[in-house]
Amino acid sequence: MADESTTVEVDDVTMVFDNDFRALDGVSLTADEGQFITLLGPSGCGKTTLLRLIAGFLTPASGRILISGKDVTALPPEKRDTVMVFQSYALFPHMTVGENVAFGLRQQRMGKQERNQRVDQALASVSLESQKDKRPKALSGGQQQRVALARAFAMRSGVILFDEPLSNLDAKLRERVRYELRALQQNYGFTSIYVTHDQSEALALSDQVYLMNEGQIVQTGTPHELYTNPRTSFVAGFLGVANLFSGTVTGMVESGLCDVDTPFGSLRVRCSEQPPVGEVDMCWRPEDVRIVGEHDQVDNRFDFVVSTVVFLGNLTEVYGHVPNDDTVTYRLQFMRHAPIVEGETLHLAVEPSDVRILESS
Amino acid sequence: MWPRIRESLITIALLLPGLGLILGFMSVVLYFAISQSFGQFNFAGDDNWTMEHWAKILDDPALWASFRYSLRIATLSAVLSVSVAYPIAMWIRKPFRGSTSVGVSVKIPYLIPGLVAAFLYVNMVSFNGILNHIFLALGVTDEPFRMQNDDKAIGVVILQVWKQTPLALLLLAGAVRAISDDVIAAARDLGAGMWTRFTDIILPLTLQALQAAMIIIFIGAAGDFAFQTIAGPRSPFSMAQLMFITQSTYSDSNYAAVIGVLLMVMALIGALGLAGLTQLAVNRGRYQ
Repeated sequence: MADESTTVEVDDVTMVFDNDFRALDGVSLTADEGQFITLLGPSGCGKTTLLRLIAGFLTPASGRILISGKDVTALPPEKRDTVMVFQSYALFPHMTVGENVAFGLRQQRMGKQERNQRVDQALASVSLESQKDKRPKALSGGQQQRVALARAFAMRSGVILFDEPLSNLDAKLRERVRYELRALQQNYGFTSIYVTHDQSEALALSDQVYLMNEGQIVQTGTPHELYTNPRTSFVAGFLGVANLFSGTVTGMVESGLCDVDTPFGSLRVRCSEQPPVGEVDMCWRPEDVRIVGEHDQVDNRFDFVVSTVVFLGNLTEVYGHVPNDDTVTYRLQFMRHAPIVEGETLHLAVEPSDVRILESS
Repeated sequence: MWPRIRESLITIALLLPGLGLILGFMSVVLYFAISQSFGQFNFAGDDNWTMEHWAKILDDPALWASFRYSLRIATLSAVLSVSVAYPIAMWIRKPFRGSTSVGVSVKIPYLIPGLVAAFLYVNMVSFNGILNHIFLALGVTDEPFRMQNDDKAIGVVILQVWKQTPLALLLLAGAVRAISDDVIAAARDLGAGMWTRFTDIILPLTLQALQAAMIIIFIGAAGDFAFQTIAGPRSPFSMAQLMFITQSTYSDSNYAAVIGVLLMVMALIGALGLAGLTQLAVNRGRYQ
């Protein structure tokens, strides 16, 4: 749908508000043509501020914003080749659905015939042709969301900015619209920058995730990279579920493998050629462990006392602790297994590659 | 059935002390004015139902001059007051340091009685007034010039706008503030400049407040007596002024009642017409 795919480059941008609050500190990112990138992070981390800077609603204290290589830092929103889908949908309540979608096209002084054609196409892409003459308040939340999407699609802007657009929808609808949105983006090829605090949305939609915290980008990568190789305990804890603990590196076994003393005993883990010295932060994911036999001779074997079992249909979550320390609770997830009972001791093992040594946050 | 009737009766009984009193007074005033315009309650002679007083109007150019004058002053006052109030309402829409003081300051005229304001204005613009003193001191003019009771009624309009803007602001500020930031941001994001955002988003979304402000200001200005008497032109009279003079100088209470009824009709039709025209203008602007 985009007439021309567009790149977005944010170069070392800092944003300081009037009350001296530094919302962003030296943030840089690049969205390539047709890429879907997500700004993920907890509330107040600066992701919406960054999106509003790209849209032009805010002006950075320093740094540059380039769209298709052109410096737009000083341009107002109406002069930028971006269009935004708001969390609140921001539909014009006094206009019909059709008028809402046509609004931006009228600002471009597009002829009536072409405008109507474009409106019809945009509404058809979100299956709302029949609602064209209704007012937004006559539509459901999901339909209003689609109108907001159609209004953005109709502009055929190179970049669409999404500010938590699905957060007001119920869980089932959110999941459906999420996949439809991804399909539309892949179909039309516009560059997307998507803000969310929902990790599942980020994982499902993105080509690239920028994980933010306290005004900075803490890690960037594909959803898979971020999930499997979190660099810090913040990333590990925010993206998915992680069992976080501390350990002490005791020595290098061979190239890229070292032994670490942990609450689970001595674990053999993947590490760099220059392993960290002393105490380190570590993690493994709940689904990374497997149940082994009592006398199996495998690496990274440890015992685990089950305190709670939660059946979730497609998987079972198990909460518990190591035998000699019941003050810290860990979490396991199993897809298929023999029945597990509370109070039982499980014999578990984890692959060296699934235990990560993290950088200190 | 009976419980519903009983409920309705209770509701009416509860409303009567307030609404009943208002409606009662309104009805009595209307009844007196209309009856008097048809020859009843004739304080100078016998009562008799007649169209004579209404017929006289058609031949009275002074009354029609007053009618046109009051209509013009009321329309101008309503339009100019909301035109002044809108930018202020949008300026103080989002809180900033000093915005509360600005909001309070612009409402001060509402607290000053119209008569006092008119005298203050006359002190400013009279032949020996403050403005002429300043102009002379600055060498702007060689001799004082006449500004008081000007023929174009500029003074009356200035006073009306000064007095009525706070009321318009009171109504418009709330309506403008109720528009979501995201809605305005979305319009901007879709390419709408400042004027389009005003005509296509802010005006339609504050239309009801705008109409309410215009109706109230129009009715108030149409029936103005104080500003007109002190700062208005010597001719023509405003409708209220003409009514008063007809009653007090010529003791013609029936003819005064006709002017009164006409004034009420003008206030009603004029205000509704202005509100309708505003709606038409806003919608037309939006769909162009």
